[in-house]
Amino acid sequence: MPEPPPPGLPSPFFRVDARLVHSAVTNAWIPHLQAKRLVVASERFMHNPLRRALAAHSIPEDVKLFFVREDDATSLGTLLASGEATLVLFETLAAVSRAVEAGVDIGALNLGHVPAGPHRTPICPAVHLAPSDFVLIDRLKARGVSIDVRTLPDDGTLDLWPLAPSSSAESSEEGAAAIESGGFLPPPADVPVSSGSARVGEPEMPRRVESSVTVVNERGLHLRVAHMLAQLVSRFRSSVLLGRDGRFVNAKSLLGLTTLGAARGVKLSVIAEGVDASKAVAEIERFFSSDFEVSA
Amino acid sequence: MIGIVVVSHGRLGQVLLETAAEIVGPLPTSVAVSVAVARSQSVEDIGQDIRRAVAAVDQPDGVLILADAFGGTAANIASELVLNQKVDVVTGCNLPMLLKLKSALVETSDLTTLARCLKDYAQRNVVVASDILRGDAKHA
Repeated sequence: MPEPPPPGLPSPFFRVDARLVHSAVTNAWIPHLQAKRLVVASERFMHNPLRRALAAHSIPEDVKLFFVREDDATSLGTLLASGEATLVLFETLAAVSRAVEAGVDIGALNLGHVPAGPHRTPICPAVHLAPSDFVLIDRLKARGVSIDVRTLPDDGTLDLWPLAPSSSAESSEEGAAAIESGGFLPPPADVPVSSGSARVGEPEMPRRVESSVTVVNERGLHLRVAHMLAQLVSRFRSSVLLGRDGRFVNAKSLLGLTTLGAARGVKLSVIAEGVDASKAVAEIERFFSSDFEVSA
Repeated sequence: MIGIVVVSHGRLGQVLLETAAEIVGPLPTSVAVSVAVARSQSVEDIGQDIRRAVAAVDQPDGVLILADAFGGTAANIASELVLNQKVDVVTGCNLPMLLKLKSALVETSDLTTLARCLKDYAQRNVVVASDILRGDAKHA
């Protein structure tokens, strides 16, 4: 009788890890997930007897190890139907895509280890995404896969897409859908529109506030600053869009912000919508005019 | 003579070599080098770094790679070299192992003998002190 996965822990847990079976998996993820099965979904690994032997020797004794081709949906399906807590490892996002194309049902995907390389944007020390990865992520998201960027279990999730309906009750479904499908401005919402900064004593009711800011930093809206901005905006309940030349991105998304390519002198439009829209816009204006200083 | 490459997550290997050098004296960099594996590196990059280090200390008697953790990326990748080079890998590298290394290199020029000697020494030096005080032969 297989042991069911402990309540509250996701199973199967799907992870992208370029290193596949290594210390962080055997000593951190398997204990965290209380996994009883480790499935390595990699054709390359399958055909490497040495790596297979090393992996078999390095995992905890009570964990069963399986190898399967990433696009072998039948075998994967059988393995995942066991009912035991299972960790599934893929080498790359491309491998995950092949699995999904082949019919493997993946609801949530952990991005744990994607190495650095030319044209790759560092998201955290162990995750670096190429433009092609962003495309794959968009496709996976379109199929309903949620993405969790996290190298180790205790790391905070780097939520790159906080506008998704599940994580922001305040954002409009319409807005989220528009951003999902290509990052363009959602149709005007049915709320009062005002422009400029917050006024003292403003009542807390849903509103739409528009403004514009200019990048004065000589390095532009670079990654570290984009991260700070995304964090700053995430403190507000309103949905916030930042746009350039008519193309808008979710300002709570580090990934979105980095795609704006906002160099020094670029003027960006800001649209916030929600109960604290004015405050959010005021904070963003202050952040840009102070040359990216975060207030305490 | 046997060449030595210490591979580790981060700077651990380099620090272990430096610390051992303070205690038992340094090994020349023509004999022993370290390779640091960064979290951002690809498997291919790490493999290249390790192969380069092996080439730098390559000796007729072979090269012994001391990797920090069995099952770790550094050890996994280093192990692949065993297949087609005169290379062996010992994992679980610790300070006692590196303290023993200097004299062991003088005593033997056989790769397998050195590898097993370092493994035994390193394991023997992991103890629970109170077990020794109690004379608990089973655990000590």
